[in-house]
Amino acid sequence: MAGVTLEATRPAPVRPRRTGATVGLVARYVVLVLTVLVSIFPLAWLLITSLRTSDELFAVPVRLLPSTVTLEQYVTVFTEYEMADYVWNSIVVSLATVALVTVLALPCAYVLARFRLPGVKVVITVLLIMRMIPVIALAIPLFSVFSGIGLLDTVLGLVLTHAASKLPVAIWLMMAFIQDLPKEIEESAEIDGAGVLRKLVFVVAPLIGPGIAASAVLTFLFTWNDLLLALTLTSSEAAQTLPVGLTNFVTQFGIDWGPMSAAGVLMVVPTLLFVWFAQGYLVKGLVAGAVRG
Amino acid sequence: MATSQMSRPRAPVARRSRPAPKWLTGYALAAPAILLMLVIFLYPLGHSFVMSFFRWDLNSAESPFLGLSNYTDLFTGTSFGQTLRNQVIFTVASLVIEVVGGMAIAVLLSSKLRGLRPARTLLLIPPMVAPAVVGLNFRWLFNEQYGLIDAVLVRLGLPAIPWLSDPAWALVSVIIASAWQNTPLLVLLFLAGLQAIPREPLEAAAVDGASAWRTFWAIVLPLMRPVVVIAMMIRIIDLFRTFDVVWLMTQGGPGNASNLLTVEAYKLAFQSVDFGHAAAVSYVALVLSLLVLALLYGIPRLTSGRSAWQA
Amino acid sequence: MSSALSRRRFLGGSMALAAGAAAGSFLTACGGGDSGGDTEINALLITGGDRYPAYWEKVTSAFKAQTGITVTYDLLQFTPLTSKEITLAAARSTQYDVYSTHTAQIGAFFPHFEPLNNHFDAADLADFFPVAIQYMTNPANGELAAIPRNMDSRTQYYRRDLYEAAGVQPAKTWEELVTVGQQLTSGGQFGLVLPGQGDPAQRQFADFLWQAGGDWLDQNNNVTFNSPAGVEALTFYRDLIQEHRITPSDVVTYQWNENSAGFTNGTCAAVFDWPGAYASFGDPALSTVSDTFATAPMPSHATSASCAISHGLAINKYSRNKDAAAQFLKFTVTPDALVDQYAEFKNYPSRMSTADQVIGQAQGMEQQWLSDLRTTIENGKEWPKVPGFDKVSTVVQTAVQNALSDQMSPQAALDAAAAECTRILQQSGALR
Repeated sequence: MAGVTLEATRPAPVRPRRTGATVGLVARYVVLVLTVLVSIFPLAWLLITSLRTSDELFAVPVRLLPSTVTLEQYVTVFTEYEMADYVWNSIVVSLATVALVTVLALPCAYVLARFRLPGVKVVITVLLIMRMIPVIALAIPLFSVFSGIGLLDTVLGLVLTHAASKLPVAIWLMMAFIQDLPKEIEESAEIDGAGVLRKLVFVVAPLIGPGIAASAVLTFLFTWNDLLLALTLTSSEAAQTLPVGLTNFVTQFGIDWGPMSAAGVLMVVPTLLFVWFAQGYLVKGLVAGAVRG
Repeated sequence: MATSQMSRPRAPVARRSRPAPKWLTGYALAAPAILLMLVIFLYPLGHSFVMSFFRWDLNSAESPFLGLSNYTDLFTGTSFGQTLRNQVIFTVASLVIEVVGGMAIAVLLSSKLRGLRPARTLLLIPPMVAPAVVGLNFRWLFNEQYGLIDAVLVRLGLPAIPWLSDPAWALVSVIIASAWQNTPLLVLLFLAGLQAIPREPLEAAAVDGASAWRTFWAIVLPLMRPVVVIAMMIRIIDLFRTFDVVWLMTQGGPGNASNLLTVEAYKLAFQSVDFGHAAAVSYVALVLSLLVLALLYGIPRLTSGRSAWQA
Repeated sequence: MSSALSRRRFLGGSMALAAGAAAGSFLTACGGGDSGGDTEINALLITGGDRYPAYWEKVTSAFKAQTGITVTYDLLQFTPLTSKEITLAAARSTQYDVYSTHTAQIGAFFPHFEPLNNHFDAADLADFFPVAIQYMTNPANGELAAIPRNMDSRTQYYRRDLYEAAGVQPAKTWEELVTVGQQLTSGGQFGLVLPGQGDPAQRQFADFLWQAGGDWLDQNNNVTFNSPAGVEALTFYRDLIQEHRITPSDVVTYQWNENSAGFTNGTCAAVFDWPGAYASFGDPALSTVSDTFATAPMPSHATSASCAISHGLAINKYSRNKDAAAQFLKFTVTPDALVDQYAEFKNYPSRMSTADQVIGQAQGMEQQWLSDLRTTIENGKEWPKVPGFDKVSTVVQTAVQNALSDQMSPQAALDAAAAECTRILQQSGALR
């Protein structure tokens, strides 16, 4: 244990000379491998489960690898369930939410970062507290409101709700990025005669591109993952999303673990894509929110 | 539009001498986002808060005012006490596991190791997976007939564990699932924090021959305190809102053994058809998480104040 | 306190009655034009498997052909359906004209469903099982809230092959349930499977409670489920799992789906399950026991009572198309429709005449099953439909689970629940 933390924070790796240091290095690799294995294995198991035949799911003793790899569960979710609708709704809802959140959050974040306006602190506090409300407290009244204005069971209703619930985090995130910008750049743009809106779109937005991308990625994934709002506000394949579809596999005559695993794997696909292609933005988003918050 | 007044060319002085249009512009820019949030959330919030003082269900043609009785009923009922206790255990245990585990892993990984970059990429996956998938997947892993984990235990000659059917293990199971999902997030946050630590004090400590353990406690941890506090705040907020994982794994059972506040609120609303009590539970959850946050926010200021005093 | 409550309830009730009467007269006034060719109604209907969408498509298109009324519908499974209807009723939504509903939940919806007494004539209602009508009726005002479509009563399904090999007969009594179960439990094979979580646990406790001679409430709505009979029932239920160990050890996490799966995957030799299970158990695609299962009546103790509840359809009180909705309801419970429903899903007809017809047309084991089930239904029971009982249900479910998982003794769990339920029933005005 000794020697570990000190070296850990040193900028350059020290060539191990003593056995203690070698042991420390080995220990670190062990931790690295174990951490990764534990993080990945449950999802790998989900994938393996989704590739089994229905009979083998309930085999005792449990087999580690499927005896035959089959895509029958994936075929089932698309042929016997409304999976195509769920996937389509999830994509539409998530993308539309990202668009709306970005368009609304950027100007608001800019104002919070740059304008000394009365009430700003109040807004910040309210935003933070809003994040903390259990969604269930809102479900019934929200349902009543949407029922009254015809937004129940519509993609639009879902998008508006998701946008409202994701806005605080997005604003928070973009605000942190804007605050890091040197004010001189904006001031020089002002001298060039740019209006606030143009300055925002053509000067600020490109400069905080990573912040906007980070907020977009997080908004997409949190919207994509949401169960409770979609469960409350939708009742048909017109607007039901993937997580709601997932709960549909818990049927009266048995949990369809096979198709459910297939649907679960499909749900994880965007996560993997974003982690693979946009990990920088993801980390930036998560860290910016936390480290500067 | 208000912005046109702002764009008078080459007159930066005018910006300061005429603040009113700028205010207007500011409010105009912020308004759409704030309005959307107010319309979507503030009315439902207000409504449910007000209704938490009324009888609110499907049976009453009118909703009589009850004062605080929806709240006091919670404390005389059979299930709320246990639920509250579970919430405390769940929150504290999850925080300890995630923060201590996350910090330990982050510290061990913060040196240059081969394979660290891909490892960090993979660590991003669990926090970004839908909690619904996590809940159902762990329910399958913890299944006592066909689940992998008990199968492995039995293969190793160990007794199978009644993960979801035993009252004590059920709570442990949901803590494990939640910690699996969120510890990697804290690892990533702490790694970022460790990288931002200035090198000078560490080098000075090394020169002084301070042990690594002491360096960690005396230098690294104090410098990391803001990151730790923020990470804990993020987690506390989410731990008090945890629903999907528990609902899909145990529905709060057996009995109330793994019941949490949001699960209780959900049951009250959709099984008991008792929205008044459900709202009351939700607001108790909100107040509790605010209290914990206030406490957490207050501690660094208290301790920093004391160290200033001592200095 | 209690007198104020009762006056408020009285006022509320009479207001609801007045509103209902006003709606009724309004309907008769414009009833003629209501069922014209381009009328459209919305329905929120139940699904429970991959054959339901085709079934409802068939029913609604036949209805359209006969009446010219278009039925657009959404399908949800049992539990999400109930949650959705709770939110819809809370919002007094007019989105759906017709709701699929169930005896188990009907109590919460009495103020939100249109009384059907005006839409069905008494002679027609007399053909339905009296228990079905009784438990869909609001005891406070005698109004029928939903029309029963198919009966839910349970059957003892068992593995003929395993029972024959062990030389045992299906249990007729609680004692035999234990001894037979013990004989069939060994090495990963269990004699019985039961649900032990949520509403299914309450349903199972209810059956044992009635079989032990107990009941939920007395005539004055005083709580009686913690009587000696109740304690005996819950003790027996717990002992099957914890003492005799004739069920899988994790049944306290089972709801209906795991309960059925325990039988269809061949690990458990007996199960108490619903009529629809006869179809799924017999379907080789869904079941490993399709050739080897058989049926018997439910075991009895002091009594042989089990539940007799039903799926049904109701009309949304806030609907603007009540006449058309009523036509759809009638269409779904014609004898022909019920025969078809039986053919599709083995759903037990809610009409006695149809039940007799179906029994007459069946043969062998299926006929025996149907006629045993008819007896169970006629003697069947259901928990009371008084205000606040949904809250009582949630409390009891937790108490039952606490006892089943050995967190509390049956006596202590039921006593604590009874105290809380007494307060709930007082608050809701059911008990003074």
